[in-house]
Amino acid sequence: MTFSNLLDSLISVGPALAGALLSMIISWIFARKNIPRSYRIAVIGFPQAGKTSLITALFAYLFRNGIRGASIVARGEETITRINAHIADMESGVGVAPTRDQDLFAYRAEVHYRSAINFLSSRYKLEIGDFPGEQSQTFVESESPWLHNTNYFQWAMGADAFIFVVDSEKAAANRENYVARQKSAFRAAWQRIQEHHIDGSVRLSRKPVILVYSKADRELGSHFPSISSERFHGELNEKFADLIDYFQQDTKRFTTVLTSVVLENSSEKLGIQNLATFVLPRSTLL
Amino acid sequence: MSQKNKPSTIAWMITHLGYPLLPVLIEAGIRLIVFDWEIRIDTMSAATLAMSVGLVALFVNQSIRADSGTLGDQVETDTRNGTCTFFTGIGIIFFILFGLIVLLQAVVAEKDMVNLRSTLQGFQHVVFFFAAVPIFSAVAAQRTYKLRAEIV
Repeated sequence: MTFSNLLDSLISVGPALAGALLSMIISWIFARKNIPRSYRIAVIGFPQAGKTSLITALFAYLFRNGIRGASIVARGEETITRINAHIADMESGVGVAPTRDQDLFAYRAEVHYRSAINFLSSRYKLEIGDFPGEQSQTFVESESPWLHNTNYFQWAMGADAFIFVVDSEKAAANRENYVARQKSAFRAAWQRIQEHHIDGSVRLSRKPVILVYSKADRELGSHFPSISSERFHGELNEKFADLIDYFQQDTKRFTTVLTSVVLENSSEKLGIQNLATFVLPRSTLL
Repeated sequence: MSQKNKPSTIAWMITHLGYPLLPVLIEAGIRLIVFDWEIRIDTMSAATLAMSVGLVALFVNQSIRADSGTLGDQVETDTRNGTCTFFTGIGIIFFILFGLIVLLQAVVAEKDMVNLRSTLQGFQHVVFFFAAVPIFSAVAAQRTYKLRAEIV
């Protein structure tokens, strides 16, 4: 074998190679446009932590503002019905009802990035898993092997981003060792995710992980914004310091966010913009 | 479940893309050595490629149907069914192309029907050109449905 031999033969089949390359480019564009990648966000937390309200506020924000130049369209009759009913509940101050066992559900939307050149436009499928608190609690606390066969577990093991939700009011009061239980449960949940995630622990470390302190209005109440939300956020971060250190060591993209679906900051629900910016993909190419 | 055989994306790629495409790669490698590293149009067999790509399409179809990691609504179910139909169709097309190419090769070689050679080459080019479609679509399907497998 000689290098010139190989080079000569490459030149002789040049048109065929060019055809193959063209074919690959066309195939890549076809696949990208017709089978959009999904981007899953798993929301994990104890019962009544405010997971569904958080998802609703996130969708309300996305419908209003879009994502980095992209438009977002709710997908599926169930998603449209639920999300609009929840947004209406939230706006009327009724509050979103807790998710029940039979409500195991993923909210779906399509995100469209438009380009002047049509074939460069892209879209992806956004899925946000909403789970009943009881299932979520089982996930973070249970060692049972049956859990690995549940839809919830299988779905969460393919997630691209993880939101751990803590009720900030309960964390501030810290009754029945709430903070310690949360930290232990979330640490165990993360270890389980590392063990079984389909992309392996190295790629998992590049996925966004967010610790959300929900229901900030319950603690800040009418004092907001005179009592700085930053101060309350800092206090909660101190309580969860060891869990935060643990996540920061294990992941390259971690943050904490203080949220409220009642309080508004610059006409947006507190923390929701930060959450959306951090949790959603940075690149249109994914 | 041990660490070694846990379901993963890599395992899925190996079992659903690597294994079916292995005959094509081995065959091309052997011919490349025999031809003294000269790349010719017949270095890679279009018939083998058609069969391998057909198998990829069927494997992906089965994988999507068997996937349990879904929280489906009607739209999601319909999309999945559509994707399955797409891969089934692709599989059927490539199996037919495999049959046609083998038949034409046999007829051209045994019956000396030289006038069919251009038809044979036409089908071979179709296979070479469109083989990338199901392969790229398979990767896209894995990323869409988060398909995974374990090597046992």
